[in-house]
Amino acid sequence: MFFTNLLTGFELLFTPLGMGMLILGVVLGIFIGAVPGMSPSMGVALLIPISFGMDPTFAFILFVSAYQAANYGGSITAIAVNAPGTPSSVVTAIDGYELTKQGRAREALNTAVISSAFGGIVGVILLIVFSASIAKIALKFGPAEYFALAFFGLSTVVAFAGSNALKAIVGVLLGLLVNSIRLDSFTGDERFTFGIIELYDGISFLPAMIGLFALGEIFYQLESYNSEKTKFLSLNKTKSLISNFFNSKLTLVKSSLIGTFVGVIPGAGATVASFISYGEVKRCSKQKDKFGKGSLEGIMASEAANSSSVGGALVPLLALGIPGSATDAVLLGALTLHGLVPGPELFQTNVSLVYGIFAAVLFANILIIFFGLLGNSLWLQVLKIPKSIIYTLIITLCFIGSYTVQNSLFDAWVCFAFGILGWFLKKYKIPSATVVLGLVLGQMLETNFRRSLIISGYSGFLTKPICLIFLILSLFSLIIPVFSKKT
Amino acid sequence: MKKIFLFLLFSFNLFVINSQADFPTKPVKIVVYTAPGGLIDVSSRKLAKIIKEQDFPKPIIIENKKGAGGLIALNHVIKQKSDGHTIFALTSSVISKVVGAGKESLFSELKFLGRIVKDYECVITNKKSNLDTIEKVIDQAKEKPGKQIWLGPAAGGTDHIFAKKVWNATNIQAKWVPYKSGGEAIAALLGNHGDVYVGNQQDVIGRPDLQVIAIASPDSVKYPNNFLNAGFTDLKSEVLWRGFAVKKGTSEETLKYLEKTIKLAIESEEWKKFISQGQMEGIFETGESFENAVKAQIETDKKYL
Repeated sequence: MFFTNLLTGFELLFTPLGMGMLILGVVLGIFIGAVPGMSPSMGVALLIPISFGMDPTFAFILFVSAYQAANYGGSITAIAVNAPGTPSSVVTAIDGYELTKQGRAREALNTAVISSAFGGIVGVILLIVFSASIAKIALKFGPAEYFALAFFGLSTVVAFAGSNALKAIVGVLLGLLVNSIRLDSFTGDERFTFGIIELYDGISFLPAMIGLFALGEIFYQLESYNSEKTKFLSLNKTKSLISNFFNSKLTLVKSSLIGTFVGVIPGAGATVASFISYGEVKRCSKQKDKFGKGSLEGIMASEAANSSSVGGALVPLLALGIPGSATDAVLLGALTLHGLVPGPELFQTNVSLVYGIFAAVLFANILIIFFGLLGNSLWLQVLKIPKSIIYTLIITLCFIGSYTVQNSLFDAWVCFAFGILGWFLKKYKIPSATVVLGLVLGQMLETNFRRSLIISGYSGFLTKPICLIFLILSLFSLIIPVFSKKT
Repeated sequence: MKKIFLFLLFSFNLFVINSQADFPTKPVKIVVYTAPGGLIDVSSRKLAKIIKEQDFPKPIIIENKKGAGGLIALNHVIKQKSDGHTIFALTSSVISKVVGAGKESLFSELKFLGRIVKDYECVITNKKSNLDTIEKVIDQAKEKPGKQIWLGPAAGGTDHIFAKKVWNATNIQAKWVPYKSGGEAIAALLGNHGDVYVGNQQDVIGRPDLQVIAIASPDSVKYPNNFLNAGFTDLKSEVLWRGFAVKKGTSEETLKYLEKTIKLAIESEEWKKFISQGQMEGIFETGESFENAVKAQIETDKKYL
């Protein structure tokens, strides 16, 4: 029965319309992901009107292939110009951009393609085979467990610390402080908003991230701008993709499993998955010192995790009717718009749709390899553009991208302010990624801590096994590096 | 005489054409206060699709201005021109959130166009718990006063206020645990991290593990599990509505044009199917009646917030 259903999905995918939607989805998805300010959820929402009048199965082939490809697309601008196209590619930028500066952009971009596709395939295989059983894991996560997961995520700060742990902690605390600017979600009280309504929902994350990374880097570079060096370093020959892949298969498998697991938990998302995966891979790596200075393993950890989180996040959507991420919320809405009832009954009532989605996500990853490697040759040409032009283009793209998030000029100013902040962080060698870590996890940490206190008081953190495991892991993650340095 | 008559007729026609041509002159934006995928977003997109198919002369764009329970979207709408090209898609939850933030004066900048959907408030539980009637919920709450966990979306919204009304009417004490979205709160209920969820009938659609144990609808025949049958007359009719508003000062002609357009759309078979699928109730309440309902809600919300 299972294989018959899966075959039905493949049959639909291999019709001319199915393949057309798959290719369109992947190409548009890569583009959506690569544009800073356009998140996968915005991209899929923009595709909804195109799908009206279309059979829902083909509409969803378009949506999910764009969703998967957008998660990969974010890595392109992250690696090429330090402007993460999606929030989850922030971690990719750390090592990716360093490699570009070393003239190894092709290696970095190709590694991102292969890692994304590998992670995506692992994610979807786990989705196909275990969706019903792993959905139950998602439900075991209550506020205490979410808090512990967020705390574990924060403990990965060690991985971003470099030679100075104190500076990394300063970065995380800065991120957490910025996160406290908003209306209190429990009482509705204003917190550091100074009556500015645009701040009521907190600092808009995407513009802040674009500012910190892309603008911050440009401001820093402009300080030491040398008109003689108008081009990026020449590009080295590509290392063998296949040998790289086989040498790092364990890293890829580990990151993909972490990504799928984090993706399954509603609300955790691709960005958290990337951070946790990066931290874990670095912790176990034999070449720890390369991380942050241009490590291919770092790119693999981030990209495999954020891509596999797509399959993971589809689990609660399909098995429980609960969106696992912002993009899944759009997919849930799209199901309703197409007259379908989301939830586990889809497996009985709309077999072709569910298995069409499975087939589409699987083959989207294969197409990502094709279009990704093909596109990389084009992206590399961008790096040959003189700095004066490319910087102007990036600055323009940053402001347009930030404005586009919510059509808000305020967000463009947020981007500028965080650009200045990013510049100072770079000057004083505080890793920008640590600020993003605080920004990403702050809300999850705070709200779940308070929820857990309301429900079961402080004892709730000590009586729940999953919560305890994550808290112990966090402590190990924080303490082990201290001892290993001493020895 | 004939010439004068023809001149007057020509002038009248010109006036009619001109007044129709005043609106819409550019794409019309529907500003939604949630991220894409939220219920108000989905309803707005459906309506926009139907309106477009009914030969609306300009494109209709959905613009998501999420955050702060609708305050950010409201603030955006009242900064636009009062020409009808920006429509605010709102729900009763926005009214509650804005009142809670003490910013209800902002509503004086709006002209409430019409409300089109009514969703009765429901008390929902997990089938795996033994709470399958409102009486059992009340009993459990009394056994552990102040410790029963009620889940729902953001504090200060319609669902939260409804929960407070239920606690008042049934004389129980419980804790409200707010989540970022209804979906997250539902996940918490499915995982047994709370006792009760407050939402609407569509929250149980496609989720076989959930059950509506009490509904605040006055229709005792259609809904035998309503609060009236359980003896709580104060909770006869509690709704989360969805509707539209524009910036105050929009011309009467434009308001009428918009009203007519929305009415035509919600009379379509496609809209009716959409409404019934979500187990909602379609209405079309405009003008003074809608304005008065909003005013009444503001006063009630002030009491509970």
